[in-house]
Amino acid sequence: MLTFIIRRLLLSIPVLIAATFLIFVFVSVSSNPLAQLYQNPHITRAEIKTIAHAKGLDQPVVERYWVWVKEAVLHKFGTGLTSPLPIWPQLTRVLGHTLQLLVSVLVLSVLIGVAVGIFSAIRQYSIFDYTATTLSFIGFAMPVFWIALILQVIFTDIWVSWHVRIFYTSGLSSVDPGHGFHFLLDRAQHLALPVIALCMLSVAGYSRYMRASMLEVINSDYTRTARAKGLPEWRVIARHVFRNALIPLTTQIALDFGGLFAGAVVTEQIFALDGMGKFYITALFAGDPYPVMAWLVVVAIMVILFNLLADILYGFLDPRIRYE
Amino acid sequence: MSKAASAEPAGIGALQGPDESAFETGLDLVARSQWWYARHRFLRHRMAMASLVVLTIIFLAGAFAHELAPYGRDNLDLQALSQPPSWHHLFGTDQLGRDYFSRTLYGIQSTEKVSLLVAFIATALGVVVGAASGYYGGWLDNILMRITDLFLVVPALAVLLVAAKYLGHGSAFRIAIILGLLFWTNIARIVRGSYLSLKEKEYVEAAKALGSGDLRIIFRHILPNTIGPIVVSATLLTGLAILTESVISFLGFGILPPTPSLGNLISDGEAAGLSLWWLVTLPGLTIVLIILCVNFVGDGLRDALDPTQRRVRA
Repeated sequence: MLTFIIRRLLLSIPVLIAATFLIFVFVSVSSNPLAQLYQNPHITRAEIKTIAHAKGLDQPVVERYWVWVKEAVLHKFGTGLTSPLPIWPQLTRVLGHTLQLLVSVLVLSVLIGVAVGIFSAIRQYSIFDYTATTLSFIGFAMPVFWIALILQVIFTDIWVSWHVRIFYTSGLSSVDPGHGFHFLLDRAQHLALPVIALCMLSVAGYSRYMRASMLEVINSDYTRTARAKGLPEWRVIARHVFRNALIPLTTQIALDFGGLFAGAVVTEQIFALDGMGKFYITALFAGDPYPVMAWLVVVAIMVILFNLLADILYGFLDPRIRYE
Repeated sequence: MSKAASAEPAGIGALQGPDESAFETGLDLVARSQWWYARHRFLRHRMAMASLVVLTIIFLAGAFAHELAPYGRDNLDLQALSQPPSWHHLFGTDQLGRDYFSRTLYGIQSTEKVSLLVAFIATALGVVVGAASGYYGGWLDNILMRITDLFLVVPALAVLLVAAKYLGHGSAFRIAIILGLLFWTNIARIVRGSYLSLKEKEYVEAAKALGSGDLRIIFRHILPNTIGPIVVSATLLTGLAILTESVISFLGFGILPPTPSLGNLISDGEAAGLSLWWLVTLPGLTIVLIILCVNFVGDGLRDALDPTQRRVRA
């Protein structure tokens, strides 16, 4: 198992290098990263020259990439072009916030999606099943940013009309969030709407997926055997069907993780959450390639780790799969 | 022909439809192509047909926005600022007095321009590369698979935003090219998969024995047998393109105002303040309706063109 993990991690290094190299070259070739600095009247030409030299901008692209890699590895991504603040502390701060959001989304949407999927499958063609199917079709068709805005409209309206604060519609914390339990409650009230917005699509997907894979297992031979030997139905479902139906879902969840980061970009922008997404959009608008590159590396590493975790879980859930 | 045989069970019910008279005489059986069965299955798919009608109406309305829009695209009406929806202004007006129904029609126009172009670029590129890499294998296949690996690691939306930022954005044409260049790998993967399995079939061997060249085998013999999955994924890709275009336009990296697109209409609406709820809600509902229809049409096409892939029916 350990050799498997190590080999997988080693194999993902070339992919990471290729991805960062391509994006770096693309960004460097298609624009002049110093253009933003020349527009700023407070920065002298001499200062720009020092910055350009430090980042290797007076050298060819490959050299520049090498300078960037060295800085990324040795100095934790160093600083951006336009601001003297180091990137790493900012990135870890926003990563923490985004993980709070994404882990809540993941846990909630898997729980709800799996529950709905199971119930749809064991009561196939029931009213519940049809309702769930219809809702999931609608869920697939809704852009995440639109759901987020609609939620914001509704809850702003509730606050304005009745002065009832159910969920906050922007930000991550109140001005004075308090301590302990009050802090947690405040954070939950802030995160609730983004979590709901992001959950819609995931729940729609996971419930359909779980339903399909449950139905496949329900119609399999070993389920018939389990029933034939006289097991009670709940036991057939819980021990034989449910466990086996979960296996394909784990891969799906892990593969979706990158998409979840993308969804977070839009959602955080709308709810003004100080997270990875907002960081990314701000950096892009500022025209500073270095925070953008750092963001991409961190997200890529998260995605790689998640895929690895899924593969490990996969072997754990399905003993037929062996990693040599 | 093996495919036609597997399509048979669905076709038997269909035989009793319009051509019962042929059976009564007991004579001349009508020879039916696979396409006949596919068309028949699609026409009987009620949800898909209804969606196709709605989709056609929406797309035509967008295409003829110049004739149909009750007001000009950027006409300001200072007598009617921030009006909620009414019979005069079906989708209301924004804080500048622009009629949002007209703007939504024009928005549909730019959105459909983008999405159809994306579907075309991605399908053309995906089919050629996928076919070549599936049929020949080798270095081309290796490169294709490595590119796919890259997209597994970095979220597509992030790459898209970088591309839009640095290649320049704004016009529908540019956005379409960027999206197309990003999405072609989806189709290429699917096409590659079918070519990998189909090139081992007996009819390919027969064609080779008869002396057909590679190009003839790729386009005349294998391609018609993969057309089902290609059409289905091209349809679903159109939906994905519409969603993605609306997201990047919303974030300000796509089609830029004053040219409306369904995405930037929503972000304009958000900027106008959430009390003008109709500015956010109604263009969004338009997107939802379009995507719903595209997905249903895609489902219908899958059932019609790909009878071997029987999903668990909803």
